[in-house]
Amino acid sequence: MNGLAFPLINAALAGFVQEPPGSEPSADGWRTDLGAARLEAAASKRPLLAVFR
Amino acid sequence: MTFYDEQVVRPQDPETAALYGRFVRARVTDMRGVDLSTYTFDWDLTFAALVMHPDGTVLHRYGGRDERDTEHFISESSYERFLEAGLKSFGSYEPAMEIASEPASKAAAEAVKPKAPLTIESIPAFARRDKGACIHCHSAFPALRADAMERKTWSLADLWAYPAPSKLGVDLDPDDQQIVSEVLPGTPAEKAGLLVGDRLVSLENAKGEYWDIASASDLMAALHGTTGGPVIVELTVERNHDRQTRVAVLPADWKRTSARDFAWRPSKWGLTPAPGFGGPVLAPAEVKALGLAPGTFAFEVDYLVTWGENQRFGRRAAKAGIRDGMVVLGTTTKRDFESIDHFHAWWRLNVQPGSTVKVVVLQAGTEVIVDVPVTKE
Repeated sequence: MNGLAFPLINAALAGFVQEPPGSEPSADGWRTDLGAARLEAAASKRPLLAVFR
Repeated sequence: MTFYDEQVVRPQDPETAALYGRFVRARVTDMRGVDLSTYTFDWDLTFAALVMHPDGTVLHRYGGRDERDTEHFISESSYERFLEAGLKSFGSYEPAMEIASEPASKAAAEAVKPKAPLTIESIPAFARRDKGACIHCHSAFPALRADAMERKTWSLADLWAYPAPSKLGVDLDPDDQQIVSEVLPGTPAEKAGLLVGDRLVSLENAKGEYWDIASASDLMAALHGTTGGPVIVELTVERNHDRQTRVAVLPADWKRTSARDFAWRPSKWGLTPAPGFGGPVLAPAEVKALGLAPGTFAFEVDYLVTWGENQRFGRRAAKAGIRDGMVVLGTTTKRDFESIDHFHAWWRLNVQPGSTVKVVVLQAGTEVIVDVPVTKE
């Protein structure tokens, strides 16, 4: 089921990404843009860990 | 917060570091642009973590607290359990809606298209005084509250966000937060037959809303999402490898929280009426030097609010006779405050606009009452 969901989510999220396309996470592996992180999560079929401080 | 730096951002624990490779990670320190309707958590927290499916579904939460210290439910082992639970739930997650296979139909794409985000800066009550600076998580509750008040949809019950496990009647093991470590007498949990050692698996409320429980924060989110009272919730627990369902009845007004337990929340500062003055609590030696009994609550006024929206309260207090350097012992109706936050929370939750508060102060070793009128507007 997850596999079927991802392409759609990817398409739906595309308009909400704030980071420039192709931008990379920081050296310690964290992104700062939630939209870009969700896109990467959808593309790589991984869950998103979002921390707020 | 050492834990945040050493276990969340740059984990020293190799097991946590290994788990991180299985997630895409995002770290947020500015709430500007963050959709409050998607990234739902107790925004009063100093640290919160969410494991989410990319479709925006929150699978598990971490970082919840109660009236005890900030880090009561935060530990290396419980954080690791939270990450593991997140991976497990992600693996078995099934989207609620049927989704067509590729290529996606236009209608199906429209169905999952996110709504316009609800951001703090998009809330008119906040936007009017937005100076473009960093927005903290704890700005969310006051902004939403101000908006609801303007729309006349706010009620006092909205204050009781993310109820502590004690509202159900349990305490949880800080290191394994599915495990019930205490069942409080006379509570819904005790009446439902919960026992110490039970492993909480899930909560389902009368509306059929369902939460997997992997952390104290998950339980608080489930209680937050359960509205009304009396209301029935079904708790699934594991006991001696046997899974069973327990029904708890949460009574009328079950979320109501005392000023003491509400005091930790930074969102309390946006509530009115406010005292309009405050200051540091006296240390035991200072209390003794003033000839007061050990344990007496007392604080020294070191500010009167003469700025911003609450200056009307500060000016009234000053006019009534509250001064910098004055030692305040409480009021004629309440003296047993545990902290200055408790004093401020109590005032905001209990003092009626238009009333007069009899503030007890110490002057030359004698208790004196200062009548502080509270503005109506």
